[in-house]
Amino acid sequence: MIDKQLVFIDLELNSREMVLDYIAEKTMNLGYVDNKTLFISETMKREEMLPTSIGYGIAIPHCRSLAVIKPFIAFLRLKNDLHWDEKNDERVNLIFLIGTPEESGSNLHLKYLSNISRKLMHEEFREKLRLSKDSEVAFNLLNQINESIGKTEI
Amino acid sequence: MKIVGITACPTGIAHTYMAQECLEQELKKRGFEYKIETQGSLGAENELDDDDVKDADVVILAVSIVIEGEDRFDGKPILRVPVDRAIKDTANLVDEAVLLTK
Repeated sequence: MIDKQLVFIDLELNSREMVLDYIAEKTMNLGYVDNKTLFISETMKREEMLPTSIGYGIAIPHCRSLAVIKPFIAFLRLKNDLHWDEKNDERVNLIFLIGTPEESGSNLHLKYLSNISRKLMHEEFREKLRLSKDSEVAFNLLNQINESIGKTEI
Repeated sequence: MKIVGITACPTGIAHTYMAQECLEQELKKRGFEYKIETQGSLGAENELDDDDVKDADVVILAVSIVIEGEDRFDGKPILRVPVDRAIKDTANLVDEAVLLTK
């Protein structure tokens, strides 16, 4: 589920718009998204409904969109922390961007998202993500969740 | 003390499950009995049956959409909050639920 090429460690991006633009560009190039503008505008629409900063320095922007061809989850750890939404004071430095096609189909993908969401509520897991020395270590942490799902789901 | 609850959010992708996890962690820490149902993109999971509800002292509904089967809780004290409060303000939320049992 998690693509090693979508794990980014210690980037410096100074706004929510820059973060979304950065990932949208990467997911376009990797064939997950086929319409960058639409993807960004639908993700922003979701943010405007209710900002996805969830406390603990984490934001989980997401959308279900026709612009998404294959489901994906991208992980970014910022070097800086950024003010996620003008409606509150939360500062964010861990970002999970989740893209789901309009017709999602795959339960496995949703299962992964629900597991990672639960996992993120554990301080120990957040610490490990913050301390991962490179994208390889972070990828392995996130991928463990994949493996544990693979075992229970048939 | 036994607390049951339901979590649900508009997209059903993340907040639902985060809220469940936060509530479970807090309720476990306090040594309460608990069971939290999720109504998300995967449908209803960990569903509350009649026995679960019968024994519950209070019900927490951390929901930002209309949920299924709310009539199960008729006659029980109910604390209803937006789903994100269960994530950001879990301890105070549980305190409030406990107050409703008194």
